[in-house]
Amino acid sequence: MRCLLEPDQTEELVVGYGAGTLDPSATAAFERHMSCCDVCREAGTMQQVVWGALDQWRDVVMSAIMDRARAVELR
Amino acid sequence: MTPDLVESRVPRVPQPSWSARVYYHRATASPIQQTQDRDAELMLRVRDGDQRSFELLLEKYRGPLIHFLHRMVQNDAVAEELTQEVFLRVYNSRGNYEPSAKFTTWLFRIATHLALNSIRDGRNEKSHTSLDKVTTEGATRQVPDLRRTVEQELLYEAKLGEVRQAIRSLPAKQRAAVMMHKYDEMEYAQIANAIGCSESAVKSLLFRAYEALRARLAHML
Repeated sequence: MRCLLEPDQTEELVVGYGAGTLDPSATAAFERHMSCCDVCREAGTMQQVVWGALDQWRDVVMSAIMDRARAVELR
Repeated sequence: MTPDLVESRVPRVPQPSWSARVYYHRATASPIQQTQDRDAELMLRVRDGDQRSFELLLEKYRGPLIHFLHRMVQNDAVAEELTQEVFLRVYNSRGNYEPSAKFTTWLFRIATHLALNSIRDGRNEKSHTSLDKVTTEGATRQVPDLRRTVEQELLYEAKLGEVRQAIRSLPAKQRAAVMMHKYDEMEYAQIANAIGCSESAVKSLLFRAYEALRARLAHML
């Protein structure tokens, strides 16, 4: 099925959905749309994966920075 | 002048309301917004020659800037160096500061500019203290997860390496936009000011960046 959303609307919804920052009603509406739009379903699902992966990476980077800060303090 | 540098809390700012159909849960008042007047006031004092006010700004924003620059250049030594350069430029530009511009917007615009130049010049690639090694080694040392087998640990590190590589492969402006959006939770307007483009351009930039990340990390699903 061809996506009926405008491209700029899709961009905002996909990014917001992945970030979990959409209003509950907007989330529900987008999820209903995703249930019948393969393109948006794939983009929305993958955006969540990317968001999670970036969270994981942030944690590792922060952990490394804190390690270095502690090492400096111990000197 | 070399004032003591002290880590400070990363300021969090709310996301914008994007359109009539897209809303946000995040709080409308943020620490950055609440302290804008205070920052501007401090910067005006700096303009008038008050070094203590400059030290206060430095203490407050050094941490957030280092974190931002670390994520941008992925190199701890270069991030430290760039952070100092940002504050040096702020200090040297104090005479031209106008409170009509948000202090943080101005600060991050300078930081973004320097980071993009650094990436363009490949300074972060030349340094020997890349965060590449530090990240995985640091994480393993910092939070050893005893439940993970060696195989799982290797897989985890490999995935992190892929994420890092995917981020690194983004064009510099896209990377900057993602870092500011994802990790600094900056508004579109703030990102636009920092990068020097329109809000709609930022939206497109971000979507293209995330689209590229989705394609590169699709196998992680």
